[in-house]
Amino acid sequence: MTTLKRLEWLSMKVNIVNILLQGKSKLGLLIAGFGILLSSFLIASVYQLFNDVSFILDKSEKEEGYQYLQISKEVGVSTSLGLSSPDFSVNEIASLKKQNFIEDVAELWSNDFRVYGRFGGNGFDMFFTSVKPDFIDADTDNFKWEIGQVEIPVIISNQFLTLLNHAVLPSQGRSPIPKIAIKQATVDLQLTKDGKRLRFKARVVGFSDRISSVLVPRNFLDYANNELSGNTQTRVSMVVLKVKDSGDKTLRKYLDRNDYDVNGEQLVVQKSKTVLKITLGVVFVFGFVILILSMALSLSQIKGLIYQNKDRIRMLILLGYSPAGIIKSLLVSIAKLLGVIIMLVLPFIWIVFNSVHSLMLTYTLGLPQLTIGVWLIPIAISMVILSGIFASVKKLIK
Amino acid sequence: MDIYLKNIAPNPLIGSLSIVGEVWKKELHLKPENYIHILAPSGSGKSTLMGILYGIRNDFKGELIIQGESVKNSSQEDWSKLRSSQIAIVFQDLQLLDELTAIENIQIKNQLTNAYTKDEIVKMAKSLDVYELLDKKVALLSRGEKQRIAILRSLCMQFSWLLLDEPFSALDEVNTQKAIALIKTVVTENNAGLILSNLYSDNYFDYTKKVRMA
Repeated sequence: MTTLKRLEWLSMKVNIVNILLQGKSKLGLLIAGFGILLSSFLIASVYQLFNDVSFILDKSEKEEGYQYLQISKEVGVSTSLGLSSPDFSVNEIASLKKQNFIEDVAELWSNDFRVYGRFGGNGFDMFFTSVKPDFIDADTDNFKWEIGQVEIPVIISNQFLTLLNHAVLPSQGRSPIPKIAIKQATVDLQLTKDGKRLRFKARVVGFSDRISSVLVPRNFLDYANNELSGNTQTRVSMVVLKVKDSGDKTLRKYLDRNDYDVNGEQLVVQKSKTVLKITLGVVFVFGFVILILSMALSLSQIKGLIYQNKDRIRMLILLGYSPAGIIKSLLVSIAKLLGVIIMLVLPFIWIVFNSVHSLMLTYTLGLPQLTIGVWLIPIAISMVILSGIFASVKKLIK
Repeated sequence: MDIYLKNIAPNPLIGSLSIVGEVWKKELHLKPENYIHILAPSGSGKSTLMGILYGIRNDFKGELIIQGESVKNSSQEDWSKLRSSQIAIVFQDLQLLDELTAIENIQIKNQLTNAYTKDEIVKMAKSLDVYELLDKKVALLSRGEKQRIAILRSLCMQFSWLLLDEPFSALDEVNTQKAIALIKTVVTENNAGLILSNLYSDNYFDYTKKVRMA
């Protein structure tokens, strides 16, 4: 080695932790680090996924803690033959209201006339329903109509929009339409019955997850029914139930016994939601177990490192290094390692969930936000590990 | 920095202490800038004395007073301060890390104290004829080479006292003289004192005081 090289070498700083690690296997520490990385990612991801799932499935229920079921009467042979009515009678609705597992009942009043719409050169038949405003899970500020007003505000189901964008339009070779564009457009309406005709325009003012229908203001429906069919009594074809637990066995038995169909597989959705949450819970426990094991492994590795280096640590202390200084050097190195883990986990989470959320937006499931907890979880885990190591190392070195 | 030894008796040696010795169970005042020679036959507690003065051993009766304060209840942190700024030592068993290179062993100390630049360390290494050994693992060095590295490391701080426990035991005459010359220079620069313990009487330094342990 040349003198010059030796001088360069001399300027090299000696790191206490490198001295402690010299000649020792780092495999255990690497496994522990990887375990912390994996468990931090899993726990933070489960937290965010739980948030996303709640955002998608519970957003209409979250504020109140209730769930909503849209039911209709099962169409059987007798209904087809006209022997029984597909509409709900006053008594049937009263019976529903009496059930203690049902918190509230809202009738879905229907149109008693033909609705024909035209949009972009295409014509199609439609239907209207109305429900009391407190059952609507959409902004109702613009959901108002007065006699003489040509434009009718409507709220449509998000399911319709999904079907339109992912089934109807692609089959015609057309691009999906975003919500904002749908709100800008109007549909020409022709309401007819027995030779009577009314013309209106419909504009979508909101989207509902709760009610699978085309909602119009109640006063408009009553007006149109009265004008076209002379009915002052608007018929109730469907009912929305407000319940605490849509998976309740008594409720399901009651619905089966009365031949009521639950719309949109809402019970299945509830079951799926439960299964999904349990699955997430299992992943969380899995992540937590990995975390505990990683923490135990990292702690035992650090303890092992100190035991193996007792002579080196003693020598450092004999040379004038303070025990506190050695602990500090060790903790700073571990903190740097944990910092690297955090720096790896956080961007990875950001990339993964940005992709997930973009996908959710494409499928009109909404756009959940990355929660602050996602960022805090890996940091909190690192702090806990660091505190544990500090307590353990302090005892050993002192 | 004054050091007082007041009636000190190491616990393991109580009962077998020599009555003619001038250290154990006696009062001994080590004045600043003094060069003290401790003459200590084998088994008389020479390394024990060094251990007590350096704060490694606390198993003694009596009182050790440094800078006017008893160190009986001093903490590890207090001793760390003394070891990094007041008391330097060459251990009899050298206390080098075999897995590290010579320069790493020196840098461990110098990095803590920031006493010398790399050029100064190189100069000192050359004066001890160990420059070519700096990048070698200590495990590969001879006892004499290790002893010179230990001496060089001990000097990498500002100090008031330098403790030397049989520091030249493995050195030939030429290397002993080189080491003595370097030690004298550094001790003088620091206006420090030194305490050298040896099995036999020597004239390595111009001692101001010679103390017999037995």
